Amino acid sequence: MAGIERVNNYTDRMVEGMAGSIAAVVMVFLAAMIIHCVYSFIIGNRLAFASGVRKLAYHGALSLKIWAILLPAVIFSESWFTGSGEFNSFVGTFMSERAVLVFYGTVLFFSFFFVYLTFYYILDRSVSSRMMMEIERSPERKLSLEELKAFYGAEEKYTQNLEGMLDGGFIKNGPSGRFLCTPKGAFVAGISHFFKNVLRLGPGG
Amino acid sequence: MLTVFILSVIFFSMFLAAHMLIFHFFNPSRKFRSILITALVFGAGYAGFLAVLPEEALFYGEGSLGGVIFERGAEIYLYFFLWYFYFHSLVVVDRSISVRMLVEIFKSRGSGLSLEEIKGKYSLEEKFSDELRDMLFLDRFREQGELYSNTRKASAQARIFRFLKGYMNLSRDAENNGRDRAGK
Repeated sequence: MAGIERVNNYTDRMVEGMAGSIAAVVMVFLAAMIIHCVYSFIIGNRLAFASGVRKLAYHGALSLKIWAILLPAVIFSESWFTGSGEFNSFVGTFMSERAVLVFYGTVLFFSFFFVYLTFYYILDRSVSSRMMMEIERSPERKLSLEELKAFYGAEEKYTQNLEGMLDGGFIKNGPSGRFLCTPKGAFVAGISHFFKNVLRLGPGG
Repeated sequence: MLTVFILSVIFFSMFLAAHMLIFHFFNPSRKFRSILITALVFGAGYAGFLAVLPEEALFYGEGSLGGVIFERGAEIYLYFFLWYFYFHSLVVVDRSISVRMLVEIFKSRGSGLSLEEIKGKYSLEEKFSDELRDMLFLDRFREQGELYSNTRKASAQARIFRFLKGYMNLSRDAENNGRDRAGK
């Protein structure tokens, strides 16, 4: 009995700490994201990149530095969240300890899923991967730019992507062969347009 | 607590195996939807399993090194995962062909765009040349006069990708075969 009670007490404290951790991580994440956006918006016009990859490498390194600098804030704000009893009673009003645990586990599972999705995206959709595979498949294992373009089929890519967006409900067919955004598509496009502008990424694609 | 992590790895591995087998044997026409449904099924199964797990199974040992490392590690993992999520979202926003086309349609407001208008605003020929420049920068391609060849790194990557695409019916040929089998 004493053993089970000890387990329960420990689990209580652990789950309270976990809710505090999640809250601290989310708060600091939002702060880091805002800092990255504001900084990029202010200095973005002064930057010029030779290629798209260099631009993304710059943003990757910059955001990672911001994340690393703010890491201690996660530890400090966690104790701020869990230190006063108010946060725990606030969590307790709408979530049981078990629910916090299930929520945390589900976040963990879907984080693995998201990492896999990025790999799947490269495997299935990436233009660069397709180019590598076409070169590897060619008899001489060498191709010119024109041959690569012919293998790739730009025309087909337009149709393929539009069909994908129609299937996903992002766009719909309008009058005289025109494509229109659905509310879902407009929402995604609006957020993308916002980030492209704020981070001064350019039109991209 | 470690149970939560171990179980998430087990359930994720089960999802991965199921998703690959579904693609291999059933070749679903709506592939992304299929991945999403499979993930939701396994995610819900995992959440349900956690919900009924006995309390004792969650105990790792108060003050034990493993427990402390896991708790702090999980927090740091979540924090840096959010960085990965944020950065990857930026990559998609910046590089995705679909997102660029969607934004162009969005900017046209209510009038929409035809295929020809989309082509006028966004050239895939240009995109192609940009990608080629990036591949040279990333040391994936070698330039030999007017021809391009893979570096050793790119060659190994291309072979692995080709195998996976073939197994999961993701290559264009396989897609066509799948449609033929389905009588479409």
